[in-house]
Parts: sequence; structure tokens; C-alpha cells
Amino acid sequence: MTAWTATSAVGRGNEALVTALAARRGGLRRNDFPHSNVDSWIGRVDGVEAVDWTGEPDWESRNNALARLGLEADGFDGIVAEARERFGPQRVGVLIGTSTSSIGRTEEAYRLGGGERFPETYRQRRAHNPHSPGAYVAHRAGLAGPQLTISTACASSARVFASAWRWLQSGIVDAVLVGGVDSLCHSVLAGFRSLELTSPEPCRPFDARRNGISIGEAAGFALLVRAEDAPADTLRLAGYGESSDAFHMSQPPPGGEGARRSMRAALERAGLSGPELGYVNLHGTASQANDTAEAEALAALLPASVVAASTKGWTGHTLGAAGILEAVITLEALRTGLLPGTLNLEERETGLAFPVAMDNTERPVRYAMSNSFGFGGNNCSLVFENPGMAGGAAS
Amino acid sequence: MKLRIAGIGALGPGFEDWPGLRALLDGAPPPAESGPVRPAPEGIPPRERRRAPLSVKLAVAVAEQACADAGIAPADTVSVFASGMGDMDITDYMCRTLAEDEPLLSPTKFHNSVHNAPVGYWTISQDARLSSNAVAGFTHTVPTSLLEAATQCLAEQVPVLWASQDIAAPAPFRDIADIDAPCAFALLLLPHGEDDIEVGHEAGGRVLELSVEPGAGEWPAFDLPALATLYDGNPTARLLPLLRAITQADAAPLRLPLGASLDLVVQAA
Repeated sequence: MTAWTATSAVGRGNEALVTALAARRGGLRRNDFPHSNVDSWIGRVDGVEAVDWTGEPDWESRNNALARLGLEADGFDGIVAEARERFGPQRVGVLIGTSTSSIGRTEEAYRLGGGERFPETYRQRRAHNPHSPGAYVAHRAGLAGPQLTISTACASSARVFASAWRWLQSGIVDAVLVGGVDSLCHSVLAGFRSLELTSPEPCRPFDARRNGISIGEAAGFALLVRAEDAPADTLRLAGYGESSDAFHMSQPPPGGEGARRSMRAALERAGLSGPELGYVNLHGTASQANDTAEAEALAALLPASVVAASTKGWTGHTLGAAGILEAVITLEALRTGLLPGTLNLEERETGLAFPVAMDNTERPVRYAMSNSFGFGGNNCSLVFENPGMAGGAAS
Repeated sequence: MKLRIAGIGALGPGFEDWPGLRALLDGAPPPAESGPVRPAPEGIPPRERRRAPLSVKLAVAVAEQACADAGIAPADTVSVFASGMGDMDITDYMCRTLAEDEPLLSPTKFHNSVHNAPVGYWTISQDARLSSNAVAGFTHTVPTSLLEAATQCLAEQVPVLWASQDIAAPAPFRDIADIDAPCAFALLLLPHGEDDIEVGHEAGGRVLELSVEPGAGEWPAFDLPALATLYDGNPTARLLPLLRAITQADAAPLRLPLGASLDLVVQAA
């Protein structure tokens, strides 16, 4: 892994992210998304509306605007350009996760077109399809390798790491730009309300009084190459695990059985048994069912000494971008030794199976994991390593 | 990359399974009257079938066919499900409802709106607990998702169930997606050399050799009258030249575009 970046409600780029995490300053605000009357808090990124579409009107959508802001943060677009020069545009692949794609633009086309023909400026083939973010990122970055959008709900942009690993192993590419982009839209604001999953307050993962999620938006990216093409001291993807619940479209199975299998598979691939982990960034959405099941899955695999926490109180649940956003938070935890706790968690639920961390911890760690679970029973866990921290495990 | 096709599923206008499609590929005249495509997957109970989205029924039906053809238990496979346009009927419902003054969404339709609803229902109906993926590549959905399935099959050395479906476009989408009829295909892929798994007789256990090469990014001509319209409009139908190639004894290498200057080269051996 040679570079990574994330843009979310707490700001653009990694420095803004780490500063907000360290200061325990969240980015949620009362829902002010235009035309939405859902009583909730949201993680909205400032400046998305200001993106100028002159020259590429066929791509215009809120989601693609957020993708562009994300690519420009931390000089990431320049780093991708270097990889393009080094390997050639056809040898750099693109794997982007999303759940919403550009559906916000389609919603507008219906609203303005009365549900009949799309207004003229909305007849954008490149926006109104699920692959819009993957194709747009490849277009902006000038890449000509294989490009695919993964859309497995809230596990989408964790899975991109597993697929990138396999693409690199197969030899079809020399580098992969992975990432995720998901943006606020009425489909998710009204949709999660219809399932009674949105909270009227800022979300409180694992809290006794938690009552639902706060929806956010984010864009994040990372550049993956084979070990021999990376600097020796850089952080690395040590393992991934993928599993299916085969249980219910929007409910986890008892005991978080599917989550447990994805975590165990990721640990096994990394050659770990569990206690070596210094930090786990949890899915921790603050929905009743998810948090209970995830804590049970953790308790079955890890000793209570492992620092495990959810950062959704800072950013909201960024759905298809949660995988990449929280992978970046995990990578920054490995880089800085700042292990974020759980913002808004004041009183752990009685009987919670695992002592999820409330406060931030400062401690160098070598291995860290990030969990992402989605509708359809889709689970993905990632293990990252800071090889420079040999011996720095938590226990 | 060498793979073996152990089973095939196919469903679309004028064909209900792989033998039916193969007859058309061999030049048989299409049925005089082919009614609407009506998948009836066995894994989804009849009373749920009525409410299940067409995208889900299509994908589950061809996935069942491919597994049965190969004689491989669905729970032993990893799944990669694709769609170029996703479920436009549900998108139409969502966007139409959200345009109302006081939108009231159906929670079931909302959770069915995720791109991984077909593979989610598939894993639930078959108790399939291994990795399941849902992907999209717009007009390049078929070659790119096949590449994704192939790399997973070989890197993990597991059977991979690949399926793709696209449904007809509702009226508002017609300006951007001219899809008249639905179709779905599934391939059960094995790493080449897994001789201990008996392969399905219908697919004939054909070996595919895949490679990624710079190219012109052009689609092969496919002018079989019975299927030409489907091929031109429906992103999933872009599998048809590959299916035709595996019915031929000495097919030339097939180039399927992955992008404007990159091809997936497929040699059926």
C-alpha cells in the first residue's frame, strides 16, 4: 500500500481526519439536506455542490463530485499519476465500492421530469448506471486498466481490497486504485427511515440508549501494489476475509455468525490468531441488531484487551464508502498510534458481550482490523500491518 | 488464466435454459411466439416468488441451472453476480415515490434496492455462506465481471458461480438504456485441473484460457437474427459470443473489450 486518503464530514484529507479523531470533534449535523424532512443527523461533506462540471457534463452527479474532491485530497491524484507513468495506464486497475452510485442524480431527473422523460441535461448515460463511480474515477485518473464497481451495500469498499489482492496476484495489473464513494441522497435518507433505522439524535454506537444510525457521505482511496514494488517500510494489507450470512436481507444472524467467519478468515490469512491485534475499527452502526451481534462475534474471537471501537459517531455511517473510510482510519491508527474510541458512547449497554472502547488510546500497534457488514448478509474484514512496529502488539 | 466451465444457465426471450439457447446458437429458428421471460426459481417459495423482483428471480433461476448442470452444491461455491444497469424497476419505483410530496417508501423495496439483492437472495435460498459479490461495469459488465470471477477462482482455488442479468428498461430510462427484453446467464467456473470434480455434460467441461491484452476495445460482430437485438441492447447479452464460441470445435480467439484500449482475450479449448 503506497498511499491513502479519506474525505468525510470531518474534513478533506487525512490530517483533518486525524485532527478530528484526536480532538473528539464529530462532523454530524442536523439533517439539512435539501428537500429532506427526515428527522435525523447526517454526516455531510462541505463544498460538494461547488464542483464545476464544465467540460464533463455527462458525469455530473453529487456522487461523482464527491469522488473528485476525494481524489484531489492529500495530493492523491498526483500519486496516481506517478503510478500511471511508472506502470502504464493499462496496467493500473480501478476497483470502487458504492451503494448509492449516482442515484441522487436519477432522483432529480424524476423530480424535474415528472417521472416521464428525463430533462435534456439529465440524459447522461455515464451517470445513471451503477458503475458510474468506478468509471468516473478511472476517467479522472486517466487509467485504462480493468475497472469495476463493487456494490454489496455497506461492505462494498472493504471488498475492493480483497479483489485488488487477487488482481495483483493474477498478474493482470501492477497497481490498483481502490476506493469507495457514497453520497447523501433521498433513497438512503427515506429508505433507512422506512426501516426505522435512523436516529433523531447523533448516533451512539454500543450505547445503552442507542436508537439508530446517522447517515453520512464519504470518498476515500488507496493505491495498492505488490510487495516488491512498495517501499519497505510502508503499511501493508496483511489479510482479508469475506463471508455471507445466508440469513436475512437486513438482519444479522444470532451471535454475529457471519461476521465471526469474515473476521476469522482475515486473521487466518494474516497468520494471526487474534490477540496480536492492537486495534479493531468496528462496523458499529448504532443500530440495535448490528451492535449486539458484532459484540458477540468479537467476544468469540478476541480477548477483551484488544481496543475495539466504532468511529461512526464522527462521520456517520457512510454506507458503501464505510469500508474505505474506516480502512483509512485504521491505517492512520497504525501510522500514528492514535487508536480512536467511540464518540457519543457514554454508557455501554448492559450485557454487551465485548467491552467496546469509549475513550481514545495512544499506543503503537503492529496489526489492526476493520470490519464492514452490509445488507444481503455481506461481510468483509481487513487486517493491516505496520511492519515497522514489530513487537508492538497490544497484549 | 485457465478455467473450466462446468455448468451453464441461460434465460431470455426464446430460450429457457442452455440447451434451448444452444439450439438458437446452432441456427435453429426462434419459437414463433415467445411470451415474456418468466423465471421460476425453485429456491424461492412460490408465495415469495410473486413479490420477488424480476432481477432476483432471473439471477437465482440461472444460478440454479448452472449448479444443477455441473452437479455442484451451491453452498460449495463463491458467487460473483453482475448487472450492467441494476434493477431499473426498483430504481423507477424509488425515484417515482421520492418525487412525491410526502414520500412513503416500502421498507422491503428499499432493502431490495441494493445491487447485491440478487446474490443476497441466492445465498439465503441456498444457505451459501462463502464469499458473495455484486458488481457492475456498465456496457463492459460481462468481460470485467468474468475477469473478476476468474481471478477469484484461480487465486482462491474455489468453484465460482458467475451470474449476470439485466432487465428491460422502464420508460424514463429509454433515452439512456435501450433495453427491450430481460436476459440472464450463469457459468459455474472451476480452476483448470480440478479433475476430481465431475463436470456437467451440457457444458461439456470446456476449458477457457483468458488473458488481458491491449486492444481496440471493439465488440465482436454478432448477427444471429434470433439474438441480434438482445445482443445490441442488453449489457448481459454481451456473453453471447463467448457462449457461441464454446459450442464450436475450433473457435478463433475471441476479444471482448474491458475498456477503450484493453481486451479480454478468450480462447475456448
